Amino acid sequence: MPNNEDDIIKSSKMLENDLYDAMRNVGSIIPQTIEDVAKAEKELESEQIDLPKTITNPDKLFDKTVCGRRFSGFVDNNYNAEMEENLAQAARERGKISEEVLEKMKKDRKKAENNSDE
Amino acid sequence: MNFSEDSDYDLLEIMTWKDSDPIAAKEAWAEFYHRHVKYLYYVLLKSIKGLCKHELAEDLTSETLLRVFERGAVTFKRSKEEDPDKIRRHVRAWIGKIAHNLKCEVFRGRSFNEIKVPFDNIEDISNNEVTSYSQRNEELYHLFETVLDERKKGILRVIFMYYDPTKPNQKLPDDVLDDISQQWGITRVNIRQIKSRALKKIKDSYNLKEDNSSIN
Repeated sequence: MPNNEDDIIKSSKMLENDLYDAMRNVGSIIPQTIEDVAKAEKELESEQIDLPKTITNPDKLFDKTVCGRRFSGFVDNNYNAEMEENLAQAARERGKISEEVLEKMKKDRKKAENNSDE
Repeated sequence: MNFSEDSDYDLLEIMTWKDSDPIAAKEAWAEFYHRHVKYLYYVLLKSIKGLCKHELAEDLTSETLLRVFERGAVTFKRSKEEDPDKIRRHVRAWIGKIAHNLKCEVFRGRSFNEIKVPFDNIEDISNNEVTSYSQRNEELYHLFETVLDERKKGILRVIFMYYDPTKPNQKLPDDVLDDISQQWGITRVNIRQIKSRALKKIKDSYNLKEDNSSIN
């Protein structure tokens, strides 16, 4: 256990470094070293990634000025990942979203709205 | 023109001819685009997973690669490397820095037309860094995801986007602090307190877990 101020600072810095490495490890930080790129490339080999149509053709992107380019919007603090996953799952299965999921989505949306009002 | 045999370094150089030979420059870029788009989309998708709509990964992918053509290629510094795999990884690490820069700005609420990537300040790519990711890293990330509320997570995420482990006593730039304050409706002092409480919570949870596993 740290017993003086220097130890506390050192211990806190160590925790920050470890957490930063943890974020790099899970891919939350985009790879920016050769070592991390090699790791991501290896992971990609075992992933099934389909490129969305919006980015398959570079010619369609090329002549647009920066103002005319697609930008889906800012980051939403109340973004609900679970809701998006439910919708994506329903789309993949081409089925209907169950009443239960719809109800949960409704509740989540209301909760997010309440949080933003706080 | 067929550039499929050219190295990534050569493609970047051909892109710099956009005034003297725009057709060659554009075709070199198209080849470059096809080589890296899937990788870039994958790492971007992973980095925003659970945070925002996946469409943002598409937008950031195309924007990053367009920025390479528009301004980046001129500033790129090739190494003496000749091995194609090593060249590819070097180039992807560099692209990663551009994408990271754009992502940081988007998370601060900027739209693409407001963002200027500081290409001249993009540092050389580290070739020697070796990080051994441990079980502790995985556990810490799990605790980050599970014990913190959304606000603490959101603030720590932005702080770590700007984190550089090689710089002791690093502080967030003033404009980033202002953006976080505005985004979450808090003061700069609150940010420091929230960061400190969040780290303490992770640390305490980790220690508790360690203690419990040593008892068991």
